Amino acid sequence: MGAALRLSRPSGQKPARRDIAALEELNRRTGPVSMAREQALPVLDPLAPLFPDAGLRRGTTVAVGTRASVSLSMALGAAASAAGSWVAVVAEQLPNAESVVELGVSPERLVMVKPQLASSWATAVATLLDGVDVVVLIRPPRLADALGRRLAARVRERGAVLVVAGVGSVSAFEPEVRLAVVEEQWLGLGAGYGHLQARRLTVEAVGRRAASRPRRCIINLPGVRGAIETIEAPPALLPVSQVG
Amino acid sequence: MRTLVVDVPDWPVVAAGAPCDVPTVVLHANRVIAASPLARSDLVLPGLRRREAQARCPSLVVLEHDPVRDARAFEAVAGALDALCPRIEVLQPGRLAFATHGPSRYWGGDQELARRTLATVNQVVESLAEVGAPASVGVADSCFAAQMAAQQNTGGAMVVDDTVGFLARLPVSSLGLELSDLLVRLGIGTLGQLAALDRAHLLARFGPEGELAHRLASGEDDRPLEASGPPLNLAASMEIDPPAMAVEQVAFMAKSLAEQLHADLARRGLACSRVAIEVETEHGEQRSRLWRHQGALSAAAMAERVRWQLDGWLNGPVGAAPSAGIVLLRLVPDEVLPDRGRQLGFWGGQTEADSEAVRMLSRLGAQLGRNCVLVAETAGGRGPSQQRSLVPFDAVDLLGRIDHPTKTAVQPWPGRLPHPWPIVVHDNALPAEVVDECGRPVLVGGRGEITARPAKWRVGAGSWRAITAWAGPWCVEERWWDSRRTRRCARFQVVDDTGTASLLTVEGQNWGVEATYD
Repeated sequence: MGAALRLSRPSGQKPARRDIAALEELNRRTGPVSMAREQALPVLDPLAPLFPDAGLRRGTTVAVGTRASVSLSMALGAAASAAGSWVAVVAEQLPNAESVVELGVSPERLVMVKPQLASSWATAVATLLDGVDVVVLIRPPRLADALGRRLAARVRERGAVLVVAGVGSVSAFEPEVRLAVVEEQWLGLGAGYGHLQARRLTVEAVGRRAASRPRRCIINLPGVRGAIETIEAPPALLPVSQVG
Repeated sequence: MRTLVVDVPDWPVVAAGAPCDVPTVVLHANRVIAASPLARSDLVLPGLRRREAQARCPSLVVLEHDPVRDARAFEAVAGALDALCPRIEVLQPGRLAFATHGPSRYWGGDQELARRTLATVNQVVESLAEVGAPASVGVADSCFAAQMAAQQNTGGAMVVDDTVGFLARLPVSSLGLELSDLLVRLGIGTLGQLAALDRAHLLARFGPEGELAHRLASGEDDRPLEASGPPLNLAASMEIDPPAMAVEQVAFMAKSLAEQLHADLARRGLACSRVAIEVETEHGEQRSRLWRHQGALSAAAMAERVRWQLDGWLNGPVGAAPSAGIVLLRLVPDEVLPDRGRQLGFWGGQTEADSEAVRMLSRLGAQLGRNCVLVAETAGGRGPSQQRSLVPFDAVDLLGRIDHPTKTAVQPWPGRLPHPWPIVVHDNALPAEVVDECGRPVLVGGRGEITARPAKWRVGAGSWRAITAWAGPWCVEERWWDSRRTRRCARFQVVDDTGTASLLTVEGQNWGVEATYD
């Protein structure tokens, strides 16, 4: 619907066709860069090695195994939330909001949904996918395969990311990446002294097709000084102090 | 430019057709936006929350905000005034404006024009609802001054000859800008004082908003001089085949058309502040309406106005409704401004995604129930789940929160657990048992000393887990002054041989799992 560019030539001739083409090309190249919706949502740096695109590809489902599932799934949404995406959590037992905010999710863009009936899960998820970029399901009830496939198709269509945490079989959702915690070790607590400071996790990611070779990374979730840290060297623990 | 503004106060109440013997309010985001005169006499004013309003007036009838209904009803008023003046601009449902240059000469003076307008509007409003304060009309040299004149003089027509003098007495808060707050603190109380300052200084200190404030205070229009007619061929039109009879269909197509127009303008560095929406039916009936907005109209706002206009026409009074389907929809930008743009993502302000998410939440709330869709609000406390409380989503101004996130200082809470917080908190502590090596239950004495070293624990009747690390007790005594809610307990952090960490509490003899670090 755009108007043709008009060149005014002093002699009053009609502008040559190649001049118009050249100017249009120049206009296109120097036009304002529109923030096109990127293909992948950002993910916190320590978790980047787990994903082949170094981010959560839009339209995919990520399955998180049963161990440390809640923290890990919320940490997946943290970087996207900081970048302006909304994160929604659907669970029978909602996670602690302060803990979620500590992991890096911004509280102004966090929604927690607690469906009363098992049958309203599917409608809730379908509606959430309309407006929210990252939807986290924590221990969803068992869904029929057909329903799971329809939800997966809707996820692909809306370009959102679905994270399913804490269920044994998630094949109905056709997840692209499956994350599982292989090792877990809490640091900071002794025999009658100290307090929990950090947890070292070894996370393994298995993808589909090309990315089917498992990738591992070792992270601190929660970290000593914040949400999540990579392990380069053993972390320096805070000095044990009397609490209370 | 000499403008006439018609203002019907509390239009949402009038549009809802509320009866005049029942106090009625209209709510939006849990706050009152319009109140009927009976409710106002009970001091229920706009800005109050629902509960406060109901406390002041128990017999209050509460209605939800419906912008489509407001716009549809207002279309009747705008339609009636079409006979007086060709170019009516609707500012918002409840308020419209038009230039008085031509009509004033035709009808014989400003006073006569204002009188006729008032009579026409009152006639239409009375046929819609029995309630409502009467409409008011203001005529002045600028749109803002005319608005102020209409608001000051409820129920009559006010023609202002000396606009600057009239504005000089008004307080700075009537500008409705964020700047007004700051100006009051700087000692500038009235618009007259503001107009006496130098515009260049205001521009240098406060930016474009300061310049706008000065322009409004001096009785000039808020449109900058650079607002000009748009370049030719910028209208976006769409033919609809087969002819559409439903508002939803056309509104859906209007969305893409508005986005196209918006993109076209944006490519030229322009933004539209006034748009003419023209609709034509198969039988040749046309309806065109000018919509004006303060600042630039976004694509979503344009689409919304198309929907309002169509709703007003198709579902309005039967005599004026079209007799055939709609075949042509045209959006013509009537007035464009250079697009200064808003640095949206840079400082983390609102974006389109945010408004879309909030709209989706209202749908979800309607499907599941408002108590099932929750957002986190800062609270404060000692326990793991007390830092932030979960409230229903519509009890909070979600979009306002994004622009102005509340940053409260972390208050000291003695006895609070250190970071990190456990992520799974059980509402009622699950019963548990903790024993030492010999199998005797572990207890905590009155002075906070533990009777034996804990060796294993279990939840309910589950299997025993060996404790590999533990720490505590952290004693908590809460509300000792309140005999019903007093609580004396001790907290322990425990890591067992499965690798999971839990937060256990003991109250008297009873152990419980308060939270799990999942």
